[in-house]
Amino acid sequence: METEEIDKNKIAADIFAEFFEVALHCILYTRRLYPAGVFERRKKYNIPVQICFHPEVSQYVANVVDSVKQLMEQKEMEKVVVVVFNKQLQPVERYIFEVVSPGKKNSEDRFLYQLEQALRAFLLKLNVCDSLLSSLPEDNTWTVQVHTKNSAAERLHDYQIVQDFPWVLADSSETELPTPTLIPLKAVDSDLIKMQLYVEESGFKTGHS
Amino acid sequence: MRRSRGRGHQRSRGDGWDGWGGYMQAKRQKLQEQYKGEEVASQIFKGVSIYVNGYTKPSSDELKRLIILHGGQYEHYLFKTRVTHVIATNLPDSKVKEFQEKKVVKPEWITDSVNAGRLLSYIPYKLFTDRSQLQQSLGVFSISGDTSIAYSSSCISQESDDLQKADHKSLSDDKHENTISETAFPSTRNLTKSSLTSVSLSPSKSANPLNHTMTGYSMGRAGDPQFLNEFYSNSRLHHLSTWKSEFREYVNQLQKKGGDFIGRMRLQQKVESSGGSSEKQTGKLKRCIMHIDMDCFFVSVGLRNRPDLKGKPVAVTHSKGRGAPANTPGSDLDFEKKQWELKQQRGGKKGPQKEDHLLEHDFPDLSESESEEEEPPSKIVVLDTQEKFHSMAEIASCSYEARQAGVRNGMFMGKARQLCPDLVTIPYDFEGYQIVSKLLYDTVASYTHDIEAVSCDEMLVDCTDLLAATGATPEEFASMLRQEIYDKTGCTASAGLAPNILLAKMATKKAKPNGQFYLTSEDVKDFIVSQSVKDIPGVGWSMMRKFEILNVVTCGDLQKTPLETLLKEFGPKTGKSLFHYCRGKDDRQVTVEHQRKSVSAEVNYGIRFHTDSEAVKFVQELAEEVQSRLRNIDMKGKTITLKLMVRRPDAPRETAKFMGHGVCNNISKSVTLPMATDDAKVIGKECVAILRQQKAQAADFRGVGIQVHRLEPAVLGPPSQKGHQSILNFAVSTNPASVSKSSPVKQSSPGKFLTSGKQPPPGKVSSIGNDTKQCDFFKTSVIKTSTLNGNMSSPCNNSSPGKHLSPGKHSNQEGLIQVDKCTNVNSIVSNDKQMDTSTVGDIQTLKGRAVLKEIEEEPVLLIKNDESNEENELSDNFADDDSLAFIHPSGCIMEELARRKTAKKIIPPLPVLIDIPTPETPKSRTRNSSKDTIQADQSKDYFPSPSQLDLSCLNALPEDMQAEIRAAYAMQNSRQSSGNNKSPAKAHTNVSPKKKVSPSKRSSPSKGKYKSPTFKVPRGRPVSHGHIRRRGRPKKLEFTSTKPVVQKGFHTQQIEEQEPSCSPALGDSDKDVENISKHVTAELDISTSNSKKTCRSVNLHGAVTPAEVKSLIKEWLVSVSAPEKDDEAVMTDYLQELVLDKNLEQVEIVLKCLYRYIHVHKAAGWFSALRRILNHTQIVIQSFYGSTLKSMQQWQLECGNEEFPCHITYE
Repeated sequence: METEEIDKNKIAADIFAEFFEVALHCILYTRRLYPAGVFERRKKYNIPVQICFHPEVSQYVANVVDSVKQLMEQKEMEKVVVVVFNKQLQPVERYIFEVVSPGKKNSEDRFLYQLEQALRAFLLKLNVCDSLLSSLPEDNTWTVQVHTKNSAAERLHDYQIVQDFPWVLADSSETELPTPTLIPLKAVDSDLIKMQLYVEESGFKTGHS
Repeated sequence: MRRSRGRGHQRSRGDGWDGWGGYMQAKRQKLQEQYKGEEVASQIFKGVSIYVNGYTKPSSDELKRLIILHGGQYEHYLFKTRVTHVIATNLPDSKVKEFQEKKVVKPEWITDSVNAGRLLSYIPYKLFTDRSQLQQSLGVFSISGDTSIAYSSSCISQESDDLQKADHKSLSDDKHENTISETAFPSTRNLTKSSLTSVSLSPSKSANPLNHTMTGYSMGRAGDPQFLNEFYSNSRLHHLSTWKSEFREYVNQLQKKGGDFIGRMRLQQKVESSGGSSEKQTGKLKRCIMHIDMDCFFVSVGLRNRPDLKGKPVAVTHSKGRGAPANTPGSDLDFEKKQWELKQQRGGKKGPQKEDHLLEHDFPDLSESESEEEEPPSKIVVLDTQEKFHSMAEIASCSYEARQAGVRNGMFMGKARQLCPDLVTIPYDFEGYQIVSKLLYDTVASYTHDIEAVSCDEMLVDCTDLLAATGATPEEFASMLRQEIYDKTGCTASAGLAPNILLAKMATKKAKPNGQFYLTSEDVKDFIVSQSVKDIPGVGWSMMRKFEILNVVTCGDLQKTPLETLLKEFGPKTGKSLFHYCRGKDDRQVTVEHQRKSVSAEVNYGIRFHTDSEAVKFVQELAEEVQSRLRNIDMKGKTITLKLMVRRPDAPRETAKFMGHGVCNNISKSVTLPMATDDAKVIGKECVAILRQQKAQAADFRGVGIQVHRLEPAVLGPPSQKGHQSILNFAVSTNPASVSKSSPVKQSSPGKFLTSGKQPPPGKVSSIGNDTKQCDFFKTSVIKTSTLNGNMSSPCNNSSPGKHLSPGKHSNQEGLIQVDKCTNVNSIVSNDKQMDTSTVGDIQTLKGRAVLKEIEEEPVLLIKNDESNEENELSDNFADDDSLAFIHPSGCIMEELARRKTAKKIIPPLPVLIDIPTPETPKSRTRNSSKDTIQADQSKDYFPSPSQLDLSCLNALPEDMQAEIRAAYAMQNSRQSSGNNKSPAKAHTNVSPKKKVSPSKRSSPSKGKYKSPTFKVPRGRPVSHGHIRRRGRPKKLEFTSTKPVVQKGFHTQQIEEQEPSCSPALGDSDKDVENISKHVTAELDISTSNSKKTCRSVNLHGAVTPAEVKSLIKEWLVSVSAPEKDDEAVMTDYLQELVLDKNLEQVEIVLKCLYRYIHVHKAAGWFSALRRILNHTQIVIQSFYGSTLKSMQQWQLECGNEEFPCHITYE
């Protein structure tokens, strides 16, 4: 029983990490955080996705995903947030992947077809989120924040989960948006993963404050 | 030299590192040249290429040295095409299989040949000459003590003794040829006998097929009961198509039989007497392939009995070429002619000529007959249709005299008569063909067994070995053989001899008629240059067209074409082989042993179904035919393909050729099974399922075929015996009691019940299923669970479900699935099996249909058992009723419960099901508990209780159907009243005798007014099945709404025991409804607090998925002008829960939906409600997420701007 649980955890982390990596690239592309020229078309979950092939970007993404995966395996993670900052380093958009322990048990999705379909739906939704959000100003930057349990945060101080890729505590000014609104994108509940994705959008993106 | 051909150009650098494959190439080359330094002692092994496997004595090194020393090749790697012989002393079973098609020879062959100074025949040295069919597995061979067991099951017992003895002998000294052949003989004698009978055609019926055509209309039509039998005994096509495989099989048997070559000895004598050509031959042997082909086989066989016709133009055909019968009504000759011409034009005039007969094609039809007419097609049209072009019968074979006049095989009779007015037609003589080809094969087999059967009158013989053994020249052998064939059969044969198959076939063409041609390797070059490219195997009209463009006519022209062009034009594979073929190179081996790849049965003639059921039945018959063919060769297949020829929409209904198939679209669909099968039922079921998926009308079917491929040997079964026993049969024989039980299982076979179903006229159907367009998809499923008590031995009980159901009537609307479960204490195991087979099959068909339904997105259903209800009751019974335990050991009941669960698991995904719970009055419940048998409980299951019947749906049915259904219920009721406890299956105790349908419903026919009956929402489907439902059924809440026919399972309310006053029959007033709402809301609260424990999905009265929720909301909005407070509260609660459940997406969807509907309806009461709901939800979200939904902010503003002032009412 115990081992089964752990196993499921691992599998869930695996699946999520796999998905998250693609989703991250997807955000980078659809929100035009990098020029379209550094992306190339690949196929994932049977749909075309854009993956950034700039070595440093993809390395950074890979490191983030690695860490996220480990945190998730240990069940220490609550949310992963991709934050987009404007020129003044004020957060303007937050893409929140909220992962909770799965609600469904023993569903019929033995081969994960439904889950895969759901993940595909996530990506498709991400691809069109452009139209749901107001446009971004120029010269943005981005980062990834992970909401973890306290225990994990403390452990992170002590050692690096991924070599040479230290995580630092986020400042509250980086996590909170001024006058946020919320745009739900997608949610899935399956045997392995229950997660939802929504976007918080700041009222004034150009940020002249 | 042969071997270096393929990659010779890569040799440029020779260091082995110049590109892909270069290393291996270099390695092989070095190995090859290892012994080059030594001078070649002789050319004994010229053309022989060996591969040594495993330990040999002498060692492989020594063998290598020997073979290279004497002119042969040694291969380090097993190249299928290059290696001519495999040398081994011992082979594991897996390798035996692998090398099945190779000549596996003992090393002594090499050493002895070297000693003798010439290439000896490898036959005596064959490692497996002694392998009979029965000995195929080494396991049997090695455990000699057990052989008697193995054999006694499979062959006739007296012979098994011989066998056993022989086996022991062969084990003790397996080196000696004599013993080996002795061993093999007794068993194969038996085998050949039996298989010969299977080979022989049923002559009695086939003798005069002509009559059938001439009498015309007496010919059967598919769908007639005896059609298939008749067809297979009459169709020439059937015979022809089976010949090739039969003869291959026959050759295999001959090979296994071994025995001495009488012919070979005679040949040797002759050679010796004619004076020592043998020295000439020694050490100078080349590969020599002979291709033997009878000269216009059908004609010459037919002429055996009609010597008077010799020398006249003769054709074999069905038709006598008499005046045409009146056109088949409904046919359109012109149309088919046109299609035919079209085809021809497309094909080009130079389409390949089919040799002698169209073996592969049953009833060579319009599309197949690409004859090479010289005139432009337009001329045909000019002909007087009625007189000249009357006969669509093809000429199967015609004599050379007729050919001179331009008649060709495959030509239509009418046309042929035009070209050659004095053409004499003779009928088929299947018996004669059979006899002659058997003689032909026997004759050749008396010389050698290196035969590849090409067809009944054509074969390839690898005579390298034979010639080596006898020392005869190829010409000597060929003439002797041909003479012998002529003496024995009275028919002439032509022979082509050449170093390879390709050239042999070309040589035969040159040799014809009645001649022989030996093409020596020296002459190849000159010969090939003049050959037409048309004669290269695999060149059809499409390639011919390309050749035309390339301006290539002969092989000589082709030789001039560079390889690159060929590769570009024809693709890498074809291009390469063309490149080689046109140079006369062909390294294909004569495939001596042959494995069947597929088994099929196909009928393209006389298929005229009137109804779907006929088609289904026919497919099942065809499946039986396939089964018997599979069993004949002891194979099972994994993939089943159904081939359909469907009349092309623009083609006329009747074909010009009587009962032919005309112009068709071909459809073929396959399924792959998890396990190989040879069972007609399984095959039939699969095919029927495929058939059902086709949109085509059964009436348009013109051809049906079933093919089974991916064959594997039927390992467990005894070979080729008629009484095949399935496990089921075993169960029957050992347990007579279960025989009667298996009958309901049979009834449930989908084919049968589908057969009994009539398609209702589509118009009527659509009136029931509001938007249903397709009657095909109207078939819905009722899951019936009939449980038979083990104590019941009277068969009438067992068949009771059938009686109750009268499936013929019901299947008008419902596909019935019976899951028969037998709680027979004695035979649980066997029952399990039955159940499995029946359920599996049914579910498969169901799936097929379910898929269809999904595509149509029109799930319409009338009736379904409420399984949970059933479970509920069952457990009630179980708990309430002690007497149960006496009748059934409790274990059985548990099993029963468990089975129900599994059965249910399978059911839910079906989109066709709609829950209609039984409104059980307290009265019925008491009744129920007073009667105490499980049967009573379940008997209701196979016939939905009247109360479960949605009257509005019933009303929508055609009147005669209604009458039938009512009659069925009346019968049931009368039976109930007469039933007593002793015949429990008949006691439908918990069905209330009267139809308990709410009056409101009764008064609402499909188009009726919406009064305001109460509706319940579908229960959440993904709810976990694991727990037993609480009686209260907390999640059911009523909205006051109406609409009698709702697509997705809104249904009458289940009234709780505790609240009899709320019975829907009475609860017409709003007050009652409100009562219920309150009650249920309270329950809902309880259940939400439970929800975490039970892992339920958040739902709105059971609606979970967005679609469900949407339809529910729609209902709600339509039904009332302003929302009840309670309902509004339910909605807000639901939204709140969704927020808590972290499913913002759905929150938004639901709100969007609400917003949109409300704006459409513009009902005043709703706007304020919407605003309140929005506000509340925003607050909840705000508190959890620190922000609010963007889209809603806008709506809130809008709502505020509407005529209603915005008050935040949430506290």
